[in-house]
Amino acid sequence: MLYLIYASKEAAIERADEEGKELGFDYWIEDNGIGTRWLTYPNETADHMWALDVTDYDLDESEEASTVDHYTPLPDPDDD
Amino acid sequence: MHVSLDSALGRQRRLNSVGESVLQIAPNALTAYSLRSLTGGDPKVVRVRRDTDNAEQDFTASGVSSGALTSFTNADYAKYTSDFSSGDDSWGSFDDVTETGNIDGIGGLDNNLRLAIGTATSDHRAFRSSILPVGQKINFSARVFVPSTNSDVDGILIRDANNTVIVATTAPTQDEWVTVTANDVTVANAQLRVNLQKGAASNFTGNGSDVVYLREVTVTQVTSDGFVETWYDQSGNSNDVVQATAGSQPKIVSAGSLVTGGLRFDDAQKLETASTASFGDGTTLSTFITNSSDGDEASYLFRFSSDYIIFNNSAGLRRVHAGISANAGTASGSEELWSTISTINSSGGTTNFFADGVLKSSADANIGTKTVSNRVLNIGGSSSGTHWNGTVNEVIFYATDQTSNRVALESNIMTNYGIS
Repeated sequence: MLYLIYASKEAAIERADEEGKELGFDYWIEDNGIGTRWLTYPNETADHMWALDVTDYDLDESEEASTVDHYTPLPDPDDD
Repeated sequence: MHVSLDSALGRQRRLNSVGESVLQIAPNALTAYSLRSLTGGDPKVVRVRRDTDNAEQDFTASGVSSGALTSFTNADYAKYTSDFSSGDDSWGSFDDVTETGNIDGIGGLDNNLRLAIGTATSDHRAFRSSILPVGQKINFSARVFVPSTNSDVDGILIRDANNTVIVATTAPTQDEWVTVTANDVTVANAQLRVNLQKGAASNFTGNGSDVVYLREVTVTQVTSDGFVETWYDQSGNSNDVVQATAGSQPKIVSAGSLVTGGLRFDDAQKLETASTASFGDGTTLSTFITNSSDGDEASYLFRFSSDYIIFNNSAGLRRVHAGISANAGTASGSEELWSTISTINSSGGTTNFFADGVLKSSADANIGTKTVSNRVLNIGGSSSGTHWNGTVNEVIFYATDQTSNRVALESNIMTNYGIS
């Protein structure tokens, strides 16, 4: 798995949105606020950054150079 | 004095009347998800994204059962169409073959791909990567030209890189364009390979001069996977469960066929309501979940965050949890109906957990002291782990005590899914 690490959730979602548009997901086509929007969604890391799974993303050279192959997730407060 | 059986059983309904739907038997569900009609009508039940082009469509219960859903997911999709007008279109070669695009004037046609054999003693292969949909069925077509000036190469064999035969050994008529086709071939590798052959043999010593030409290579994907973007609530409360992230959507169509068991959750999928719910002291929650568990790890099936969870643990034990877990035997791995009737209470809640209509927990088993406070309904697990591994056919949930309707509901559900 390949991840890009972002300082904010908003920045990670912005990248996820960009990929969702590229892939032609329904949310971006119908413009009615319903349908699939993202390929992957960011998860918070243990150090409060945001990791986006970009394994299947079309990355530019700068992004490719910035990927990491693992991260430590923030424990899910909802987990039992 | 006459005492009716219903009176003797505490007026418990024993069987649903013929033709009665789930929500006619017990109308006031808070949420109700299924691929069949629970209302007696033909409600919208699911919104599906097909994998080929990410198009989405809503389907009613009859649309699922009639084949309209699989017709949607399996619509022909042009996976690859060759274009040799400006080069080799990213084709490559092994074994001393040389591929060259944009070759004109072959059999009266321009923009062809030439495959020229070398002198190796081996197979003689050209390839194109990333054009076959692994695990799916394709239709294939290509035009082939074998010149009569060849002294050895007289045929071709077309396979994927796992040696799945797409076009078996064929020796086309020479000096004319011949169309080769294949239908409904399930491919196992994304790379297409073309063997140059001599007398139906793939392995021989090349003469360094023979050639074969290709053009109009097309791969049409004719099956696809489908994924659930929305599982519509049939209760009338609009508590749809949704997943807007493609990678987290459960599968409903696999390689062109409906998934056996309904929706397939495979360790990373979940559906959630947008709205939250709260249930205070003394509320009785009744769930009827038709599922099949892989039973290979702790898997959350139905939950309101960590407040109230129905799941199986890593040993396959069925459980209800509202602070602590009450066990209810071991999941069989086959299709099961899990019926739970739980009363949550901050001073100590209880549950009765039935599998296929049989009480599997201790009666009024202790489930802990949590109540539910502003939690979304989640089907399939948390964000970081404990995802459901298995299938789910149906989830019907009441925030009321359905003890009196339980047997009738179970009869309806078990009959529909062939559970005994």
